[in-house]
Amino acid sequence: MGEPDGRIVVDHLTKQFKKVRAVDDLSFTVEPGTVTGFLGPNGAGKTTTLRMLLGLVTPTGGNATIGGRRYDELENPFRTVGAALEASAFHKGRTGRNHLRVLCAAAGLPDRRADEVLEMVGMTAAANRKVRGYSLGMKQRLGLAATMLGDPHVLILDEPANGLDPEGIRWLRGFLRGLADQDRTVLVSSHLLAEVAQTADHVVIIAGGRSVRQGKVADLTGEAEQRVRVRTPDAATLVPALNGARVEPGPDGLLYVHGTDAPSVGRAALAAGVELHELTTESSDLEQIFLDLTTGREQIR
Amino acid sequence: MTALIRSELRKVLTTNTWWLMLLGVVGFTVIALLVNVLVVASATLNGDPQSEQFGLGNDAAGLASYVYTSGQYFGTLFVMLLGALIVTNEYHHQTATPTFLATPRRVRVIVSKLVGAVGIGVAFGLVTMLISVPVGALYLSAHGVGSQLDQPTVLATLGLNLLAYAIWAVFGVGIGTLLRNQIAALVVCLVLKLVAEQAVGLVLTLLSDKLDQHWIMNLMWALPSQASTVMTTATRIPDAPVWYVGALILLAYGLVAGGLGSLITRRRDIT
Ligand SMILES: Nc1ncnc2c1ncn2[C@@H]1O[C@H](COP(=O)(O)OP(=O)(O)OP(=O)(O)O)[C@@H](O)[C@H]1O
Ligand SMILES: [Mg+2]
Repeated sequence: MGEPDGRIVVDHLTKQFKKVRAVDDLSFTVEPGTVTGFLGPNGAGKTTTLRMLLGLVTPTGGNATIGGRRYDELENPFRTVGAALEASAFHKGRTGRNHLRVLCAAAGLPDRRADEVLEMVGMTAAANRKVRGYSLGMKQRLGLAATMLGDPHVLILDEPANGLDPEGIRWLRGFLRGLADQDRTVLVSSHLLAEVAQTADHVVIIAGGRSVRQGKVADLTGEAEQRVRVRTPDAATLVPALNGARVEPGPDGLLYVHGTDAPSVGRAALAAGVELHELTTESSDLEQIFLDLTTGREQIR
Repeated sequence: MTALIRSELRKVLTTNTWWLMLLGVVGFTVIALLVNVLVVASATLNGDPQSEQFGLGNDAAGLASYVYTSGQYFGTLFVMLLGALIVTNEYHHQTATPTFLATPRRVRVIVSKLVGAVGIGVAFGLVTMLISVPVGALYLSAHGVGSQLDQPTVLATLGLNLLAYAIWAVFGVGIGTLLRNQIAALVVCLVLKLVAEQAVGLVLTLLSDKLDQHWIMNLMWALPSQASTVMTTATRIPDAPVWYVGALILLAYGLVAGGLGSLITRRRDIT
């Protein structure tokens, strides 16, 4: 089943397009037996990184290897790596089944693999229809089917959940988890931290082509910070009375107070004689953490 | 490599383009055959004074060759377009991504496309001859000239006809590889085959007249269509180079375009 070692190593990878530095000195590793979420806002450089990893885009600097070898050095890449990059890379006038059979021929795999993987992704009924008539989710499934043709040890998926229905997303989660449990390497990109948090063991978060955070999902969720949501007509009096707690203004006169709790804010307001219209404790969720990490860098370039 | 060629043939055969093209080739062959038989051959055999413009005179073998290769001009055009489409479709439909994922060594993909296109080109050429040779042979036999199929020059012409289909396919793949933009590649094919010839021919004629240098006219044989004519005519055309020079010129065009295209494709970012 391909390489004994399916570790993905991205080492000081850089890509400069004419005007845009899409990926900037990015390094991370993905271990076999884990699902790693690769996260970043639009234009962060996720797809470009994956394309460099797969030999489709030439890096300006650094290198990326799978099991110690560059993708274009792999003897039979489909048996080692399965990759799905975008849901539009099909000839619209070809049937899903024929798309897979073309790839089987190129990879020297038996044609029956096409039918087997279609079955795996629940696309058997649509197999002989032209891709023109597929929905976005069906194209995603076809792309996913293609990744499984060579029964690879490493899976690289670019936003595979995009366009899937809730049942499809649940299926995908179980599918990816199952692959990792078989000691395969799974790297999957997404815009949504919450989407991968349930499946992924690790995350690599990038923004503006650079790494902003890498680590275990469990560590990130542990950091979920508490804040107090306050609404008052007299912020000018309340803020100085909060003893220097960090205050972040929200929309419509809302204030978010960090590093304290609701009773303390209430007490301070009472002591200062400030009227309060709202006082709630909020626990920032994963999405908030993601935004905190990436805002300011997330301008679409 | 055979696996890759099989994959390329599958790509062609699992979409509609090939049979639309084949339909075009067959259509033009039938029209050309009708004209060649009913106008050219009939006038020549009747000794019509106006038949002199065809220049086939009493040369029965030449007449047979002419009839048997009916449809070559447009047939090779279609094969060239198909060759270009085989490459540009990959970019147009973004299938270059799965293709190069399956075969990261991209030059192998291009070589397989060349081989596949040559196979399809030759198959198309065979189809045209399956129509024009029996029909033409019947007509010529019925008019007392005989099929001429025992004449070496006629048999050579049939072989060269297939070679023309093969080489124009290579040329098409070469242009597609070099340009990758589908519309641009198709327009360049059409211009090279249909327009450039006349335009460049005119310029060469003017130059050679103005400068009084007759050799300039010989440059004409380096043009793709003229090279093709030289190649496919088994008997010598006056002032023209030998047939294989025409073949080499045409092949060189295809291979230079394909070679340059391969160099570019190797380094090109697939995004
Ligand atoms: N071929 C290209 N030429 C020029 N710039 C490019 C090219 N491909 C990508 N870029 C730029 O590189 C940056 C990163 O793009 P990339 O597609 O990698 O982002 P992404 O993280 O995948 O975004 P998304 O979440 O929207 O898919 C963007 O600014 C994009 O405009
Ligand atoms: Mg992307």
